[in-house]
Amino acid sequence: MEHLLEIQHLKVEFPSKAGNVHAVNDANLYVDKGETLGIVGESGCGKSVTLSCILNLVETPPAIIDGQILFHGENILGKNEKEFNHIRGNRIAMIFQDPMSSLDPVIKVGNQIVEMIVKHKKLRKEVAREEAVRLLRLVGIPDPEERMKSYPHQLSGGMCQRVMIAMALSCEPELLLADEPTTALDVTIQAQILGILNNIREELGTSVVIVTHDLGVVANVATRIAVFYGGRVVEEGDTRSIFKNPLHPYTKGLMECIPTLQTEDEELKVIEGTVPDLSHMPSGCPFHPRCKFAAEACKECVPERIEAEPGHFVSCHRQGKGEQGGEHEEE
Amino acid sequence: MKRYIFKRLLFAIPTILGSMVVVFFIIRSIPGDPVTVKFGANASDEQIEQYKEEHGYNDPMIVQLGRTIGNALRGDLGTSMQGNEPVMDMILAKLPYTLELTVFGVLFAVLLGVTAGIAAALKRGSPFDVFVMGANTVLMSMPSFFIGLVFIVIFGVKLKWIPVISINLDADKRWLGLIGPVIVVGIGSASSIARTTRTAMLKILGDNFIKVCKAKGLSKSAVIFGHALRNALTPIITVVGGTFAGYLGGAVVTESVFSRPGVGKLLVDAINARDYAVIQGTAIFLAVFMILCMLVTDILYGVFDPRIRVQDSAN
Repeated sequence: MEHLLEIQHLKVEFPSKAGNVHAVNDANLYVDKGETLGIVGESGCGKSVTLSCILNLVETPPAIIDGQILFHGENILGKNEKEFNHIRGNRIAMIFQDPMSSLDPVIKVGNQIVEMIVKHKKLRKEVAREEAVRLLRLVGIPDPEERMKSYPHQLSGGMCQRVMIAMALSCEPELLLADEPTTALDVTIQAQILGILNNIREELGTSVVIVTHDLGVVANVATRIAVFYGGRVVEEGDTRSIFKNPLHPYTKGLMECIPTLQTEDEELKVIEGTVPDLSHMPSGCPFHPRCKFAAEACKECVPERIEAEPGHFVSCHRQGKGEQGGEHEEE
Repeated sequence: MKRYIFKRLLFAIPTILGSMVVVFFIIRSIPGDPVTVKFGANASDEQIEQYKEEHGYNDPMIVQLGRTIGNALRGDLGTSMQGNEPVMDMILAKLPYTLELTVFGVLFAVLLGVTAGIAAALKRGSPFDVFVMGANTVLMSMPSFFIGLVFIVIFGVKLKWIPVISINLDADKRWLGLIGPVIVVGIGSASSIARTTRTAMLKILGDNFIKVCKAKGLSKSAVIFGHALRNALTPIITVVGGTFAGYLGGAVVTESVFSRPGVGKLLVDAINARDYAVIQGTAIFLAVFMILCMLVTDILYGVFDPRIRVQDSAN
C-alpha cells in the first residue's frame, strides 16, 4: 500500500568544527491518510529536524540531507524551491512551537491568512477575506471579523496558535505537520488546541503529524506513535499497543516517568543519564549508555528494526533475541 | 495613531524652544561686538549706540531672548546686518539648492544602501558581503569633504565629467552639477544604511515567523520584501531620518566644497562676514528643520511598527 508520506533512511548532518552533528540518523517513518502520527522524544533527538525536512525548511548548505521523503510515492527531497512552494502550505501545512513568534509582528493576522489563500487558491482578496473569517470561526476564535484586524501582539498565545491552525488549514492540506504545537501554551488552552487537531482529522480527514515530548499529548490525539531517540525511530506502532506493551527500554522508561496518583509517596522516576551528544554518537544502539539491559551486542552494532506485533516495530537487540528465544522455547 | 502623532508633536515643542535658547546664547557668547564689526573701525560711538538702541541690543538679555524666540515662532528670523534683508527671505531663496541636494542625496543613499544591505545579508560571508562591510569601514572613517575633494580632482579636473563648480550652470547642466555632491554626501550614508539593513535583515531572517512564511509556500521575494524588509524598516528609518537631518547640517561642508549656493553656504558666508543676525537665523532654521525630520521619523516608526504605536497610546 502506498503511504501518504513515507520517510526512508533520512539522515541529516550539520557540519561543525567539533565534528559533524548527526541530528537524524537513518530515520524511517510513514503516515497514512486520515491518521495522526505522534512523534515522541526528548529534546535534541532529531524529531523537529525531521519534521522541518519534510517541508525542506532545513537550509542546505550547511545541512547535509540524505535519504528519501516520498509524498504520494514521489520523492520530494530533490525538488527545488519553486516546485516546493506549490506543496508548502498548499498540500502540506505546518504549525510551530511558539505561536507568539510565528506570526509576522507588523502585519494584521487577517492579512497573513489572506496572503496565503490568495497565493495558493488564486482567489480574489475579498473572497479570501471571507474564507479567512470562516476559518477563524472554525478554530473557535470569537468575533472573527474583529480579530482579522488584530496584530499578533494583541492576541494571546492560544489565540495566535488558533490563527496559525486556521492559516494552516486555509488551503485544505492533505497533511498537517505540528511541531510541539502546545508546548508554549498553558494546560487548558493546550486541551482546546488538541481538541481542534482531533476535529481536523475527524471532520476534514487531514492527516496530522504531531511532534511532542509530552506523552499525555500523544495519548490524546495520536492514532500511531513513533518514538525517537538519538535521531532514530526506536519504536513505532499503534498508540494502544505502545502504551499497553512498550517494548523498547527507552519507551518503557518514558512511560514510567509519567507520574500517576499511585506514585504519591515515591520519588519521580527519571531515565538516568542524558541525551547523547549528537556530534559524538555512541556506537551501536544509541540508547545503550543509558540502558539497564545493555549487553556487548548493543555497543557493537545498531539493532535491526523488528516487527514485534503486526504494525508494532522496535529496534532493540534484546527484543530480537528475546523473541527468537521465545520462539525456540515454543519449538 | 492620531494620539501617537499628537504626542510626538507635543514633545517636539520643548525641543524646538530649547534649541532656540541654545542657539541664542551661543551666538551671544562669541567674543566681539557684532555691531562694531558691522560699522567697521571708523564708526563713531553715536552711530553704534543709535543702531544698538534701534535694534534692541541694549535691552536686557532675557528680553532679547524672548523677542528672538517670539519672532522666530512667527517666522521672523531677524534682519541681516549687512544687507538689511530679512533672514527668512535669504534662507528661502537658498533653500531649494540645499533641499535638492538633501533629497537626492538621501534617495541615492537609501536606494544604494538598502539594496546592498539586503544583498549582503542574503549572501552572508560571500565576497560581496565582505566588500560591503569593508567599504563601510573605509567610508565611515573618511570625512565627506575629503571624499568631495578627491571626487572633484578625479571626475571634475582630470576626467572633466562633472562641473567643478555648481553655481550658474545652464538648466540642462544643472543635473550634471548635482551628481558630484549627491554621490559625495550619499556614499557615506549609503554604507551606514547598508550596514544597518544587513544587521536588521540578518536578525529578522533568523526569526521564527520567516520560517513560517516559507512554510506557507510564499515565494522568496515575497518573504524578503513583504515580510523581512517590512520588519527591518524601523532601524532603517532611524538611520535614514538621522541622515536626512545630518545632510542639512552637513550641507555646510559639501556646499562649500562644491560651491553650491545653499543654506550651508549662506551660513558659512555669514560667519565669514560676521553677520550675527544671519548666523542666528540660519542656525535656528536648521535646528528646527532637523527636529521636524526627527518628528517625521518618529511618526514613521508608528506607521511601520504597530507595537510602538500601541505601546505609546497605552501609557
